[in-house]
Amino acid sequence: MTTDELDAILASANVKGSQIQRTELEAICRSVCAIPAAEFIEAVTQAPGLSWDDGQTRPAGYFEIHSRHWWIDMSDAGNRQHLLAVTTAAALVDALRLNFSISWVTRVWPAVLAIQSISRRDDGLHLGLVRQGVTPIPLNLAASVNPSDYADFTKAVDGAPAVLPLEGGGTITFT
Amino acid sequence: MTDHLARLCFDGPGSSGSYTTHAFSLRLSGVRQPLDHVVYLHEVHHAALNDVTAWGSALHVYARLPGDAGQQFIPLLDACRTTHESLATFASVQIASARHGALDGVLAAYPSYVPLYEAAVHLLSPVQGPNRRQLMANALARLCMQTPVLEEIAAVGLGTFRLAAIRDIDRPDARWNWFARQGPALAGVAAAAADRALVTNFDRATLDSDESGGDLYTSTDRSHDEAWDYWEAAAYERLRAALSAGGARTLSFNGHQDGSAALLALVAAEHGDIGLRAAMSGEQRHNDAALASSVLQQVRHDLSGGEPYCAVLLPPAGIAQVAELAGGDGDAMIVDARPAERLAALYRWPGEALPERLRVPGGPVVAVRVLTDHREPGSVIGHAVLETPDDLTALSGFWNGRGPLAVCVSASCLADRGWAKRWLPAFTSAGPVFVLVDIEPDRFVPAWARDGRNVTVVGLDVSDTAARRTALMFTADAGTIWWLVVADDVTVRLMAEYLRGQLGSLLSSDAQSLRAVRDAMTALVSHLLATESFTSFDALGGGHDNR
Repeated sequence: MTTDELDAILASANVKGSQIQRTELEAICRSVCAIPAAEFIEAVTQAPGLSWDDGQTRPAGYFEIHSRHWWIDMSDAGNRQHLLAVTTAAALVDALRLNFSISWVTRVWPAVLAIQSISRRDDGLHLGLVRQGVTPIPLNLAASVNPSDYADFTKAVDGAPAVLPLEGGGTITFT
Repeated sequence: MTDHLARLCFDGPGSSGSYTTHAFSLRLSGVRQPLDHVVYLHEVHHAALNDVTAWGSALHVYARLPGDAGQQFIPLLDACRTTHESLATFASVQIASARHGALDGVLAAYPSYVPLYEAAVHLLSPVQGPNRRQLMANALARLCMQTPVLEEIAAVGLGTFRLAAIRDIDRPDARWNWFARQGPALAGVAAAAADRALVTNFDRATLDSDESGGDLYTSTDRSHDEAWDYWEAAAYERLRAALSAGGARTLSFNGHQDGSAALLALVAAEHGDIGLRAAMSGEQRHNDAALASSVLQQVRHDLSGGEPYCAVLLPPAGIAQVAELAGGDGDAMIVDARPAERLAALYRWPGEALPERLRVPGGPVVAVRVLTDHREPGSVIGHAVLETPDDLTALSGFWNGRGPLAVCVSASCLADRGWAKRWLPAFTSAGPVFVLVDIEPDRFVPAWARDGRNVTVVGLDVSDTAARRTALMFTADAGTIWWLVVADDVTVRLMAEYLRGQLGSLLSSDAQSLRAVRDAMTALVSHLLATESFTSFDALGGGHDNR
């Protein structure tokens, strides 16, 4: 997975600039799925490089109501990779009609699938994904991913048709 | 629970807040009351949701477990942030709107919460009546938090449990998102089912009290409590059936109770007392005094703008010098008494530790506070300690009536009866004595009620150039000693509600009764706002940790 593939997604959603905020994320969400954008944004804002206007980070260990604005710095490779992962997850959840949250699929799909290509055409985004075969839960996910969920997800991916339509007009192709 | 909070907020006369499972802390600007109310109610709803759900019980426990055993707290918390913030944001704006009118722009100051609010409004849009929308929001969030988490913890043990034991659809935020994907129709179906159940089993007047565009105050009248509980439970069951059909393992409305009890037994066996409070019973949730007490146990008002004030211990000095230092640019002298542990929490001391001299076993510390320069940010509050009651008597002599001299003893000091017996004669001789309430009112008010003591209460608005605060004064001995709460209007109203509930006809209001101490009281409140880092009611335990 290289983050250059994100450019096609950004172009498809007509997103420009080095800072991404809520409005841009809503556009990206709409380009790949019909899921409410709030869930997509929730998954994206778990990005490692989420920036706040006062330089602080998301509060850990407690809930807080505050007045700070956040944005995502798209010059950061980690942020780009995370946005690509979330967008792919959103497309999978919608196309496969999965009951899993986008956040959950974001963490799990790279263990089961690899991106072969992402391209933008007149009719929308086209994601080419390669099935990785049966793989055990990666060690880094063992504490947070339920084994039955993982099995269900891999089964859904294995059983998916070769081509599925995307909400925004494109496709996901599995090979 | 929230319907009672609503009434407590609107019955009778740039902020931020945070909530942990220990308590919630408020930094209210005192400039825009509607905004302050939204922030207050927001944090109250975090507390309320955790106190009635399985996931909340797990959070309460893991937040308090020592060492490695507590490491699952953050994963558990991260799995329910959206559910919590959605309910807290929706409910706080709705309830504050009932008091202040439409608050369309109130969240402009909190842009991250606007989408959560709008999403909740959309999800609940088919539900008629402001109270039913509120109850449906509660039911949704509650169902998201009522997962089999306690069962899984019990199965593998506290230290072994990992989030992986819980399926995605049984985690709160995944459930909230699942409902969001279903769209508003489901809430409409659940509301219609609950409406039908209510009119079958109760007088239709309850439903009629909650018309579209109606008044939340009318619909939450106490006479409707039972019927609305029934409505919420019926709506919950309808939502639960839909979620179960989606593959989730759900719990009944109060399905967390057995699991919570088992978890507490497990915790007690492995870790002893970790400071958990007992949850309120269903009956207590309908008792305004009990509800007020529960909120008061958990609230902290930050008066110092974030970090506690810096403080230093002044070197020992003669009493005359103390009198001059403290009265240097003021026309009043305030003598404060606080337990050493409270002083450690109230201030940042040099070396981040309370000075050794204050950690004496002789009881609470009596001191005069000296502001080095209260106009400067980062000013330091010097503490000149009075070692003995004779020092106070001497100080009073040196002061010689130059202006009011008042004593401010925190209520937590009075738990040390030997210390109180030794100092009280000097306090009462020196000037008016005020007891700053820093403990739960349950610790002293019920005794007044049992003894049949008449209590006089007076509420005060305190305005300075920057903000508006509220104080409550009450006396159970005809003005010899005044008990004092300094906070915001919601906390003061909760305290007044608590006093009314506990004391009934023993409580009366008489603003004239303050006449004899008005000057001292005015000076004291200004003094507290300038030098007390925070006020709260947990000085004798419970509530806040002081990390």
